[in-house]
Amino acid sequence: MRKRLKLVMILVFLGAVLYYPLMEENEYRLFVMNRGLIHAILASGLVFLTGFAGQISLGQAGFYAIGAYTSAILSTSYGVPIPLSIIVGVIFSVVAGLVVSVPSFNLKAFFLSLVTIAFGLIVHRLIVNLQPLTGGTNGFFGIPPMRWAGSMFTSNMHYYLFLGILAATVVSMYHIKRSYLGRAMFAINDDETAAESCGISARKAKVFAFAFSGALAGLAGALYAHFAGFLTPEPFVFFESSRFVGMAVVGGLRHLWGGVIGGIGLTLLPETLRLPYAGWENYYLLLASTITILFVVFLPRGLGDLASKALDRLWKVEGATKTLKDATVVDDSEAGADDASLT
Amino acid sequence: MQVLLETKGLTKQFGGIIANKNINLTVNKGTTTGLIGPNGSGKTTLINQVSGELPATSGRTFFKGEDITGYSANKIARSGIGRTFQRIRLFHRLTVVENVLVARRHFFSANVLDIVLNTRRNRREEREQLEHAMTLLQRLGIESEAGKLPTALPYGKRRALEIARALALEPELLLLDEPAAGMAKEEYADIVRIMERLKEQGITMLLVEHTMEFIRRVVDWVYVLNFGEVISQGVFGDVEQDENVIKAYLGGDETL
Amino acid sequence: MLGLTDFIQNLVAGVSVGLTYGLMGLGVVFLWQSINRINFANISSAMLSVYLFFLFHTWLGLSMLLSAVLAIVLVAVYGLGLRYLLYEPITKRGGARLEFVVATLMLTVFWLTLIIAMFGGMPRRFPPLFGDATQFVRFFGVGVRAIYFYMIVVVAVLMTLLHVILRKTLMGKMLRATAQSKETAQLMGINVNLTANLAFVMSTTVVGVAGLLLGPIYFVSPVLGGGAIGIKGFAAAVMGGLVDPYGAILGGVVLGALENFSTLFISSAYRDVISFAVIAVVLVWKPTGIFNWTSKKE
Repeated sequence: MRKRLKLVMILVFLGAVLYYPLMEENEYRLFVMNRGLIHAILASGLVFLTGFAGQISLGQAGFYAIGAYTSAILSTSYGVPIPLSIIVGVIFSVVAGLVVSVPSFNLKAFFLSLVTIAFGLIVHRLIVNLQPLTGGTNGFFGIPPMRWAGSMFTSNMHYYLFLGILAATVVSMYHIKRSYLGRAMFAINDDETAAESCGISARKAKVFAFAFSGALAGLAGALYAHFAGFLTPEPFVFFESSRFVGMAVVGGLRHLWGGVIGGIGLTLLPETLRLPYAGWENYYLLLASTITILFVVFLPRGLGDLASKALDRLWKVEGATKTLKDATVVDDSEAGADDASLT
Repeated sequence: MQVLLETKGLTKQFGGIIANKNINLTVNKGTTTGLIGPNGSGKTTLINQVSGELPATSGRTFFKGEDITGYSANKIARSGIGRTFQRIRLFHRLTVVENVLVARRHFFSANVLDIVLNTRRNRREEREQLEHAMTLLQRLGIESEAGKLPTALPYGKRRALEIARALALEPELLLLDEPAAGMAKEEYADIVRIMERLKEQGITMLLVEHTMEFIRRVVDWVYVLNFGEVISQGVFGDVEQDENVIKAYLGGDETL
Repeated sequence: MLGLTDFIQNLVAGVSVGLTYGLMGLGVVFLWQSINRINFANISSAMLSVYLFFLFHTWLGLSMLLSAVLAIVLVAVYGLGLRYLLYEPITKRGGARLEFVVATLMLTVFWLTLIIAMFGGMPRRFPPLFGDATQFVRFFGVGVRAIYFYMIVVVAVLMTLLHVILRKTLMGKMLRATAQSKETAQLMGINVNLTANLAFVMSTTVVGVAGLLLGPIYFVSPVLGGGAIGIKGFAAAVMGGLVDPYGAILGGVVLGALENFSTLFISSAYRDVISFAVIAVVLVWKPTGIFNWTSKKE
């Protein structure tokens, strides 16, 4: 009975997610939703880096920018086909991730946060200064949109593309979490010395975590470039990096869905606060950041944790069986369901 | 007898303080070697040097004839030296069986793509290794705790888990830093039983311990350290009578 | 060729701007020593003091001196607020460093949004608190902006004051004892609670003063709270290993000088890139700080 309820709820949820763009009449809301999906991809990378591997990055906007500008410049100025330019953008972000991972070998999380801030600021300043290449503060315009069978992507097509990529991201993270890689990452997060004594190379685990989260941020950036059609240095400032970390924390750092919940939630939040009162226009962002602070202070484990606990109660899964299920690592029913959503 | 581990002139200096001086130690295959000595005599430092956690100031370590000096801790672990810690160190966010699986890392051949796509190879390996880990838990009598978090375990079982995790490496040498410390009476009996079983299975061990009764029961050969130097060695019965050893212990706050 | 004029002008400018970075670094050091946290919300303190000053003087018509004093006092109170409204609630709910980092970062975003919502993004004229900003004085026969001398004098006075407080008074002894070990301090009967309050207040106050000093250069603008300047304060603190107040000041001076000379020799466009690269290199190369005489750890 409970199992059937679970299935019904999952189907209803899936149906709603897939049907949403078809019934959304407001083009702007769909645009915001699409940005939310992009942010969710990026924030998932931060959940991976911080929640899984225990590393911190306050320069994630740097990877985001590298992916965005690489793909934009290659496709616009050099005529590289878009799928290829996106891939190159991701590769560049991965390389940057590898470089940034080097300080993490010896630095405590906290000094590392300063290094990553410096990284983000350097990337931002380079974009501003390398004007012939990036357009500087004037912006970079005329980025070709993605195309399908000769015609430009519509908002709906963007939505389904981003949704598919996000789903693939979550499924990948789910599998990694339950593999030796995920265990290695949780192990170095808990106790690096003990992990080393188990034959785990902490360095390799950190390099992988930075590369993976860099790849996701780069991918999000490249998608954004072609989705928006133009780039300015504005979305890549230091405070965007902190917003991204805020998304991951509000969603739940230790939770697989944390990036999705936080990324979409914190992108939609200011928009839902955009109420039609005179004089209010400037202040909705303020309320949004206040709400974020309140979440971090009063719900440090994030919405993902809250949601999964509520759902668990709904399925009436008792504590003991729950932990046993987690322990058996390969849970075929769930893994199967996720595989299905991949195809 | 075949030499498994050998240190030559191993020395460790912290700033101006010498923790270990010129330690020459030999561990033969299949034997259990004990390290005893008053507090602060450098026993844990020696274990940490062998396991690669602390780089040696000078001197060399040989394992199976290979010079492993300066190897990283994880490389030493992979080459066949498992260890436990004085203060038990487990992964608190992983379940008991996952703790053991962490140390099975190098028995997997699936690559990242296998994992992300959850290919048949990945699933098969996960299943095999899970079975192996469960067998190990069974050997240490904690298989019923597999799904719990380590924090839910009583102290004695945590130690057993730490040993299981070290054994998961399939090590040729096991380093145990005070395995019986802080144990209640029953737990102590369990640990002794585990040690005796490991001995029967022919696992070579190097261990630090303060409980002399424990040393008497499980150890074949003893090294006595004092102020970072080896002051005596031999079978426990002889070492016990050694005047230097008695003096060292009388000087400290412990007695034999 | 580099003329003597250029050299002196850049040196004076670099050192004095660097001193303000050093002041911001002090803000980091005070808090790190007492509660082992980095407070990113302190990035905003410089911006807040400048805007408060602007508000009091231009909008309410108070005298400049009174406005400046009020602004600093409010920023000091803000420090106390940070403790009771942010640090304590987070700690009470089991939040650790990461949660504090994120919450304080979000708070900087909040202040920046508030300032832009209220005043717009465009810079406004900074009231001539230190006289006419374009005024020049002769220094070794070279014309140097007067504001730089104000900066040096104010920082020197403040440093002397802090030095006396830290070294000679009971309060300083309490602070230093708490910095070394909270437990010992408590056993010695020191009021750890009070010293934590002091640390919070002092940390925002020095950054507030630094903000007013930077006013004539950056004007009344959100740039002051935009991250880049605050990070230079962090960098100064890092050079002092986060624990050495004098190291933080020296670190700030070196950073300021480096910045000005890189403008001179390379290009002003890459000034920030260079200083951020230096920060990254120092952190990786010597995380215990290059000007750290307080803790001599191996």
